[in-house]
Amino acid sequence: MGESDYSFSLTTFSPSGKLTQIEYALNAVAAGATSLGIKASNGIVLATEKRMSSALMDETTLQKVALVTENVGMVYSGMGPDSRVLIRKARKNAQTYYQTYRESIPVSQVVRQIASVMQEYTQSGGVRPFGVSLLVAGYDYEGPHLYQVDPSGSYFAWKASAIGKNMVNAKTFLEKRYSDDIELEDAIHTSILTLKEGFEGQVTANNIELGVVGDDKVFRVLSAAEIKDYLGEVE
Amino acid sequence: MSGDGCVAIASDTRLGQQYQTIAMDVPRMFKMHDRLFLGLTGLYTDTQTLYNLFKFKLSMYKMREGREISPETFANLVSSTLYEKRFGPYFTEPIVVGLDKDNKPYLCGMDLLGALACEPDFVTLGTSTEMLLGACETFYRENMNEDQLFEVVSQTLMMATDRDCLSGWGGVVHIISKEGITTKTIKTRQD
Amino acid sequence: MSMLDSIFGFVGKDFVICAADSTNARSVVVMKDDLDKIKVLDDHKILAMAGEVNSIADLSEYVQKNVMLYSLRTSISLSTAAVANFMRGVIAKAIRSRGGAFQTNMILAGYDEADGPSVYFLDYLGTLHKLNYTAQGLAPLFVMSTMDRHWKEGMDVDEAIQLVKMCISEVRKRVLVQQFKYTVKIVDKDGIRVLDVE
Repeated sequence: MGESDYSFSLTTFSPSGKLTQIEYALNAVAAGATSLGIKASNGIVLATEKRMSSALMDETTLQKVALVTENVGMVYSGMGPDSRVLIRKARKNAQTYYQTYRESIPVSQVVRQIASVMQEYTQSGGVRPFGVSLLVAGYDYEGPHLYQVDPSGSYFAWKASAIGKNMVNAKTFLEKRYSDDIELEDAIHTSILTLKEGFEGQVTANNIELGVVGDDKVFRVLSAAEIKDYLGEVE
Repeated sequence: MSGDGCVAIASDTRLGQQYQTIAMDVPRMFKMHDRLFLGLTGLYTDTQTLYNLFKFKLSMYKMREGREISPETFANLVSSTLYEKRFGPYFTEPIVVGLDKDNKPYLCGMDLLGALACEPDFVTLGTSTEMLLGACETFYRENMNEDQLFEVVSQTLMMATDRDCLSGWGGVVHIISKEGITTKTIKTRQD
Repeated sequence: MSMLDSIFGFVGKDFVICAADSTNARSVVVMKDDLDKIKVLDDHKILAMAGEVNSIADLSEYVQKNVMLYSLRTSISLSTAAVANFMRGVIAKAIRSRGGAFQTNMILAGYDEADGPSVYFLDYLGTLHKLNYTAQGLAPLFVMSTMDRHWKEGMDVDEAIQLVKMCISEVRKRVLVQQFKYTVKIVDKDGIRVLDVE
């Protein structure tokens, strides 16, 4: 009676107390393109690899970093289609909140609601867990926040984190580079360097994506031209 | 009514069924937290229902978000809650009064469907709203301190309840400032 | 709704007393003259009800059974305040429901170990208020003034019975509908008793 005997049913614990399907979901995340986030003293940057399986793909139409509300954005590692479901739910929840309170939703609430959805899909019949980990970044009334949400529905706030294929190396790199008073511009440079570490091939403005929110509380996805400028600064 | 770094809310305490008085000590202003009051005029059963509902919503808000709700956000919550019942409304007209995080007064009144009307000086609602407006307009001055605010508010309330047969039988005034809440009962004409 | 009932109740030193007329009439016809309008909710709570007979039966039975169920499940009894708020919720929900409102105005009276005697005014819309004395139906028109004048804090049973008699005679004198017999019930720490006041 090994672990694998319990791995077919999502809703059955294995003898060692694990839900093997969730472990496998984490494997799906670990197979996805690397994403990372860094919280600076005055903002947050999210960065991700845009992995193209062929040179024929039109990368300008692929957007991995998504806007959730004016001041909150998120990026994923893992299965793209799964992330779209979560982004959609997050956006709707944020607007419902605004409609009731006419106040921007705090980042912690976005994360709480999305994590709750992800958890439901680990304890229901006929469904499978989401094959994505999310990095949610936002600037609300309390300041900048960066959260990571896993397929199990557990979430933590991070100063800097990485998910996906190269997460171990990336996190080691970030640990060395991170300081509590890092500024946003610095953080953007650091995120590009971290992506470069594990990148197969050359980093160009078209095969990475950056999302940034500063103390203006507006989350933006940087354009290719802006990324090119930052790449130039980093060289 | 707003003052300098303070705000007051006052109401009468009569519960009646048209001409017949049932009770003279009925609360219709409710403390939602240390810097926020909700006043509910109109049908008393809806006042009670809505107070219970908002108490529930605010407790959930506080537990989920870990903070007290700001007056402006609460006013919008009240407005959306009322509008949800657009085609079968609650027959109450609320007033939301409080101090925001910079100790600036926030006042707003709503109709029974939740249409917000935020004013910087004073808001009146109820059976004698026109009389109250007239009295407030006459007595209001900008930047009153707590004592002056109390005087003006209680005089205004007494004037209007004297003239309106459906209001009266005593009044209560709450004054909210950054130091805390002061509550005073005023004796009006007992009829 | 046409309410030809007279009910009133008030708080004494360590008891509550409720009186209700026993006539069941519809326009000019008296159908029954020994109807008990004061329902017993549990050992220390009574509910006097005025209004439509079907609503009275519906609501009183629902509340009675739920109060009993609670005490069976938890082996403690609900307080009078808890029952009052529970009822208010049921009534307020009903006014906007398909079935319609309960067409009955009520007085809930009870004695609790901890809080002592209490009387609650509860109307058909769900307006709830704790008072020292109150009346529903036709009675308020005449009896509220009598109680305003003669009720005082900490009345003993004899004084209370005097007040009840005064109120009854006031109603008898002034109300067109003949209200001959009255049911009077008293609740104190020993439970509920029916009093013969005539």
